[in-house]
Amino acid sequence: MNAIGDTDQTTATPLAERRPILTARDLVKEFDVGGATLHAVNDVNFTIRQGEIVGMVGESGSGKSTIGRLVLSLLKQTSGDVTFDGENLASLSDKALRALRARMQIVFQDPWSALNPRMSVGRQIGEPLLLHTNLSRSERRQRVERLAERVRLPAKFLSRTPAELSGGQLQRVCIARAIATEPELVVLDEPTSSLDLSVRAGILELLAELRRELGVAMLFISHDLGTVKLISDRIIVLYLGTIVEEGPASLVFGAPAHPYTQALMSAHLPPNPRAPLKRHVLEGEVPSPINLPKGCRFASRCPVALPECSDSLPPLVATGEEDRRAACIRIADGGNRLNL
Amino acid sequence: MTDTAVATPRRRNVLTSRIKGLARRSPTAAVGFAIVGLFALGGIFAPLITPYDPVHSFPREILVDPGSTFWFGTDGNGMDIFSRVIFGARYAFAIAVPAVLLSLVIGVPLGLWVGYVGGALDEVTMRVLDALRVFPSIILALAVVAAAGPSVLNVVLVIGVLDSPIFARVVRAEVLALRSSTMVEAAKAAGNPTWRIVMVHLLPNAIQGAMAQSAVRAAWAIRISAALAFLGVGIQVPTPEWGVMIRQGAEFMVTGQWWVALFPGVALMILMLGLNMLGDGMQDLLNPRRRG
Repeated sequence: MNAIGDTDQTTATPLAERRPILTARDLVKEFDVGGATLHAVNDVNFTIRQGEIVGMVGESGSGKSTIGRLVLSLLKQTSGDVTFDGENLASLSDKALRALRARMQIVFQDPWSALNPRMSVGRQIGEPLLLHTNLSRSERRQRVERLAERVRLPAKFLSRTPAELSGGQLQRVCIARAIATEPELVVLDEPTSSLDLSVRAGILELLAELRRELGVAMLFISHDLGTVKLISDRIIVLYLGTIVEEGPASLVFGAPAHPYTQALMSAHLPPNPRAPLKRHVLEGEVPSPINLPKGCRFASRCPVALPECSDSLPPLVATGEEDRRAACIRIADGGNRLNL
Repeated sequence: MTDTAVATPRRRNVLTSRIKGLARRSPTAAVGFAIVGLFALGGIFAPLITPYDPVHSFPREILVDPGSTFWFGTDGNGMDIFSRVIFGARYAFAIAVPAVLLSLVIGVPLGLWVGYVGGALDEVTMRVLDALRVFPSIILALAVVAAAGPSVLNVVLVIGVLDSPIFARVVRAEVLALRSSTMVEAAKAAGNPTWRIVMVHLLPNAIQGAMAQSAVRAAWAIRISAALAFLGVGIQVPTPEWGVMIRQGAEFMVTGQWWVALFPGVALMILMLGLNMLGDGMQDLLNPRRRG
């Protein structure tokens, strides 16, 4: 299913046998909103292996961006652990965590606000090198020029300020900054959703190329299924801060198990405009994350829900097919299929 | 940094064309800058421009009408008012520049610090500064200068300290808005230590408002020092300071010698106008998103 990234040099080692670079265990994040507690992320567990691209999908408010910030310790979790290459991030000193940031980077959704408007983009690309390496100024400049070339940003832009560049160019700057120290993990928080459609393809191609050449692991957060499908090895589907399904991209896209995943996939337009549309439009509203339902979080909108679905939270269990897990009690009796 | 290294060596041309661009985009700033520049040059080259020593008294030429010998006339001590007005610019800048610098030195770090740390520190500091601002500053300045003695240094210190909360407030507001921005998050994610986030990423983006304010506050400093001199607690006669001169001239207004107070008054007014125009214009120009 990796339409672009399938000539991966690291495919020598099968994904499942590679060392985990990032592990999130029982991750919980609650926000205090005027006395009430907003449950943004609830007991989330997942692993990203070396060089693996994990696509994280869900509607807005599903907690995907919060997870992106938690795994980089840009936000502090309420409970649970994030382990990066064997190191528990919460146990690190500020200094050790800062040093570790050379190995884990992020690209934000909105490149206009992610860059310092008063610093030349060349300086911003070189900033991680300044912070994490002992390179001399001229060595840094050479590296910055090579990075610019790699993200296809003309070198003449390097001395300019962000206001003088377009959105696509700015996102290339952000990507160059993120890969400057050759990190092992890059979190991409909706890196294309604030860009024009015409610019998007270029950025995606660039990401696929980087993945091929650098073998960097990525957590690709997006609500755009088409984008995620294009680039991911594995998919995590979130609903209200909880993982409802997780598995290889081909399986999750080809035969989604959880009713929510099925509905989500059916809402995505197929590339062929003449293909018959088989959609299931979900009824009702997403429940409030302040007042989470007791049982399955999706039960209130699920067309195949049984009364017992609202009794207790279904565990994320293996479905029997190759490394796929889903949290739906109806998979066991085969009643999880939506009539599309 | 890599900045200068990466940049092309066409700095000078870039600078002149940028100045032209600035003037086109804000005529207000350009006019303000011209007025302030003219006064600054006048002050610097005062000994070359003025026909007489500003504190030299001509005993036979007391209260002479403006004319070809004494362009702006003479005052009650027989001193040339034109020379005194030009030299007065020196005092205006000698008070305004260090006073505003002092305000910046106190206010900007304070605003950065409380804005970034936030919480109780921020609340308490801001309430204390509010309490300070509630006092009419002229009364406070009057009391302090009267107690500490009427010297230029004391006037500068009082004005500089009294005005620093304004800069603290402007910078703090910017820092509050920036603190939770993606830019700061990105700086943190890149591995910046806190001091570098504050100094390299927050300060240059938070100081714009303060820079634009500084021209307006310089006008305020000149006005307060003139007011103190006028009230007799600041700079003393026969120093060629505009406030002192206006005070001297006030007595002669009733007897018809209008020129003694008018010329320093007009000079004061024009310089304040220029500084305010400069401040307003800078406010527009310093917005980086509008640089084109």
